[in-house]
Amino acid sequence: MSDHRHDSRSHVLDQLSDHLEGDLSLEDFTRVDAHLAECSACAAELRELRDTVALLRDLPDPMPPARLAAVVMQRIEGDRASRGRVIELFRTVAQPRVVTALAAGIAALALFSTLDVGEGGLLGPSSDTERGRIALRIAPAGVPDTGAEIASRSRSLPPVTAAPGRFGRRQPAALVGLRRHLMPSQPVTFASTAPRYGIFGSAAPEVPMRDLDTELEALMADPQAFLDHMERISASARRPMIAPLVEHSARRGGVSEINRFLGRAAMPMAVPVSTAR
Amino acid sequence: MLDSPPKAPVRAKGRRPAHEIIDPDGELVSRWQSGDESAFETLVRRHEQRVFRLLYRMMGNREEAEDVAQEAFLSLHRHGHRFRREARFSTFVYRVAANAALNRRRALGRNRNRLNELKVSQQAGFDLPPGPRDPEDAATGTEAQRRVQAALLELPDDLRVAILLYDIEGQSYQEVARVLGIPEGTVKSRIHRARNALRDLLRSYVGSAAEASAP
Repeated sequence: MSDHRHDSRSHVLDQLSDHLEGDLSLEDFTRVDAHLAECSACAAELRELRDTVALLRDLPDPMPPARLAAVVMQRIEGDRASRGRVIELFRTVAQPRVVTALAAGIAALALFSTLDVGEGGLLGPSSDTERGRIALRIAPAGVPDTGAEIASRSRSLPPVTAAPGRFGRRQPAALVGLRRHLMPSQPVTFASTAPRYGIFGSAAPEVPMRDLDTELEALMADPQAFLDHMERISASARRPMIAPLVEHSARRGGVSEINRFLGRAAMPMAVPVSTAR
Repeated sequence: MLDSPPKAPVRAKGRRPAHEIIDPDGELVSRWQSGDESAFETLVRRHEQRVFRLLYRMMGNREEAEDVAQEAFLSLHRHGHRFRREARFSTFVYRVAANAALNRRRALGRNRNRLNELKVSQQAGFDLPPGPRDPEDAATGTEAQRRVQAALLELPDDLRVAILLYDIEGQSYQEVARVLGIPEGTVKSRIHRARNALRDLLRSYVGSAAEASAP
């Protein structure tokens, strides 16, 4: 093949897609056509390209789920209700004099019943040799939802061993953050490479995950910014998980009730599912 | 193809439209933006087919497509106030859906995984990875269609979304450019590259199919 012929073929190959679409000038169209008439290789390329596009356009239409619109509307309504409750509650309580107390309350709420982790040391490797098991100290139902009270009572409770449960690696990660806040003088170590998730973390990709340390620090440092962050999460979370927590906190229910709420959330964390010793 | 609204008026780059775009969804959008949620539900029903089709082809299975479709419509609802009628509402819908799909793909890190899968399958001597494992998915098409879907999933996301919008959704170059927020020239280039890549991926199949159908 001469250089001229080679250049011509290369040029034509770049224009085959446009040729298929009739998206060439008359001059280019004529030139490409002329080349195709004498070059069987390029003509074959065009046929293959045409067949490929035909196959693509021949794909069947998948039927959308029958209840897609209904589910979307339900979620919109759910998000609206959740957002309203969250924002209203936080606007109510985010006064400077109660911010610190609220931080403790949130920590307690997230921690629920699991203040002490690990039989041999608070968050050190468990004496349990079964991989993945951790020891949790479970607070009984009826413990008030204030950080100080739960912390105080939980320290005196006997330890209870619980499996990490179906929430897997997220559970100890959340506990580490809480543990650091409630007992900052105690060293915290956890032999896990799991990413840290906060209880306010969102499954929505546009909202970055933040751990509990960050959440609580943000709350104490700038209540308004925290509210804004909460609003974003609440608006974009795939399934609202904040509302049941906050709602419960407002009503000051017991641990079992919190667990019941969390059991309905999509991504509950720090909830022991087994308390067998 | 779904109802194809009239083509948007051609306009010079960077200028505002000389007149308001005729949008078949215009009235519903007005009602929704005025607070009528039932209008939004109607819009969802009107667009769910095309959104789901795009997302199904982007994600490769029903479960992911359904999940992303929900996210897309929720996002649409949240950001509806940003719709300024500079393009048809359907373009806005496609834009939100495409972004939702691309975000999900990014979050899942599928690009890297798919590339790895491709390398493995090529090393194993296969032209294409196996088709979808979901029995419901597998039942939705012929062997050819499953191969095409598998080949689509091998394309980089930016090429795949462009070719889907153009060849499956029937959007014009100009509309695809608006949906993706890129110049028309880039759209053409991506579609050209995507078609060539698909042809290469399907070459043996297309060739044998052509031979089989030859007299």
